[in-house]
Amino acid sequence: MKILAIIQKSLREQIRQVWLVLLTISMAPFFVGVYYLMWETSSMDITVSILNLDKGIKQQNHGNEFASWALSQESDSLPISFNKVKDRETGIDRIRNKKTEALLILPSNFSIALNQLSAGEAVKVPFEITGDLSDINYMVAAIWTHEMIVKYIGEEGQVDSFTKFTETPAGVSGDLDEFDLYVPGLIILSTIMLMFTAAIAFVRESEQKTIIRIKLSKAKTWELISGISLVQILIGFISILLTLGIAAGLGFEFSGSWGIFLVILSITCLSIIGFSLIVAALTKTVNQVLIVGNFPLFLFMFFTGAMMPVHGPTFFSFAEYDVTLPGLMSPYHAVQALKKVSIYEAGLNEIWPELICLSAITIFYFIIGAWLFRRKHLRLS
Amino acid sequence: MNDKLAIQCINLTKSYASINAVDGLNLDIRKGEIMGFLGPNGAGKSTSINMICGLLEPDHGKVLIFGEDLRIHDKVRYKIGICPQENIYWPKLTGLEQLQFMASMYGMNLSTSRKKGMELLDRLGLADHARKLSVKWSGGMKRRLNIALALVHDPEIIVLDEPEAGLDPQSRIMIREFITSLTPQKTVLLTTHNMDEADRVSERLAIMDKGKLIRIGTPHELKASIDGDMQIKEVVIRRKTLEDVFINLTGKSLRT
Repeated sequence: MKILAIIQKSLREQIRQVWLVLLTISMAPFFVGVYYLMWETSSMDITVSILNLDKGIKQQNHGNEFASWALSQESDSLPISFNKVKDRETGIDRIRNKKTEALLILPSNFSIALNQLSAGEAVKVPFEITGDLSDINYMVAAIWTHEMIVKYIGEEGQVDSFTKFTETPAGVSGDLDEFDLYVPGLIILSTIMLMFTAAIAFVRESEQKTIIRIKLSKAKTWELISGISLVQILIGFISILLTLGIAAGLGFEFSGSWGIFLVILSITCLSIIGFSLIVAALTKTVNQVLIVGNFPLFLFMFFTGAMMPVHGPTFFSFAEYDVTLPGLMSPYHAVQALKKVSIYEAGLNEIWPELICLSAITIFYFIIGAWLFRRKHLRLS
Repeated sequence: MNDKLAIQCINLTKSYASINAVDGLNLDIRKGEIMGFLGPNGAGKSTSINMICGLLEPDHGKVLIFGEDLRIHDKVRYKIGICPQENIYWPKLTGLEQLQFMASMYGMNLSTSRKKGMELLDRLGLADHARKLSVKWSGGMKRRLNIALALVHDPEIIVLDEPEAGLDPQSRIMIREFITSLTPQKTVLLTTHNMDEADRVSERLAIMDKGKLIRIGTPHELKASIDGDMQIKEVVIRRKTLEDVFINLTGKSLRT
């Protein structure tokens, strides 16, 4: 009965401060829209500039032929496109100005060497490729350029390659694009945003001193925390559904198990609420929540894989699952689990290490949060 | 154990750093009486009230509520309703909603809590505003709501910390009459800086200063107890008031 009364009261208060709730539930859908605009409405546009220094042989110039062949490739068959530059300086300028990812320099003896290769001679052709090595797009450009050169030499030099790769997508990854890969993280982001509404719901009782009335009453700490938490879980699921709905509207398809999806997100919601109890215990006012809460919010947003992939040193591994530095934060495990479910259609038997980590951190957050909150705000003499 | 006592403070002591906020308070409050609790700012009234309600732990001494030690039988605090000095309420709830909520926190069911809430709002002249958000209420209405919140679980002891502070004369009279109507069924501990209010409402008065109880008695006894010179002077100039007693006992110097 007391829990029901707390739920009813908390629900009324949330509905009557609708702007805070709207901001909370609209943050993740907003980022879904932003990511969609970033990945779906613009092509990847990785380009390679070709500088042909090949002097040719008789009437044939393999450098020109390679360049023409590369430029004629259909854009949907290759993740990169080619263009030609007249000198090295122009190519370097294009790299600096982010107009191209790599500069391929075809050597002056390209045609001679290819003819020697056709005649069965062993030759080395000194191709040069240059670009910004810190740019991940350069790596894509370099790999595909190498692939194109090997293919051209194989055909023109009549050299049979002894390697043949067949590409098989893992799970449903072949049907996914960048946008689809980011959506699971953004769904977790929608739960992370609960940290503010939950912490504010807890700390407001202390700020307006109504917690004095509650702690003098028969209500128990667990009843207050449970009542407020259940309302926050409801807000969390509204946010999740909104995020998922917007993502689905923009083309995202979830192909994993909905049951596991619910399990992961329910535990994540609880985890964030547990953490918000810690924030509430360390603060006295809503203003302090907004200031102090920013620090964990940014950590959760940017260093758990919710908004971008993250890596960190491995502390330990169990069941082949690495617990890394970002793994100290519960959303990291939620993102990993949700990605496995949505990309590889993983079942519970495949994500149990992530779920164990997520649950263990959730319990830790809740125990610490409830203890601190009770000690700071609910303790009677 | 004295069956006639609602509250017993026995050698109640509380210090903050080097300041003795309450220094060995011994105070008995009888069942069904209105006890006025007077003292200058910083005299230790609020600290004493917080210890009586169980919000603050005494360094020494104990509080007995109907003969039961508050530290041992903490559930006895449910018999106390408190109206703190400042208005404590949920601004995003209506008056009725918060009374229902608080009643539920004391284990009342929905229909009983609703009935009790409406009854209190009606008695305190707030029934017409029962379904309006309390944040929009006037200061006087919020004060009355706080009194209602103290009473909603039907406690046997009501602690009212300056219930008339900042109110207009009409609201003051209304609250005064309401407080009086609570007895003898309930025991009331009332703090105030309004000597006239204390004089009119209280059956007995306890005056504190510098953490100590310096005088206790009926208003009449207290008035009779001050210096003879002053009595003569007051008779000549005007009718002697309880404020004279207060100033005589605690002095004219301002406190922090």
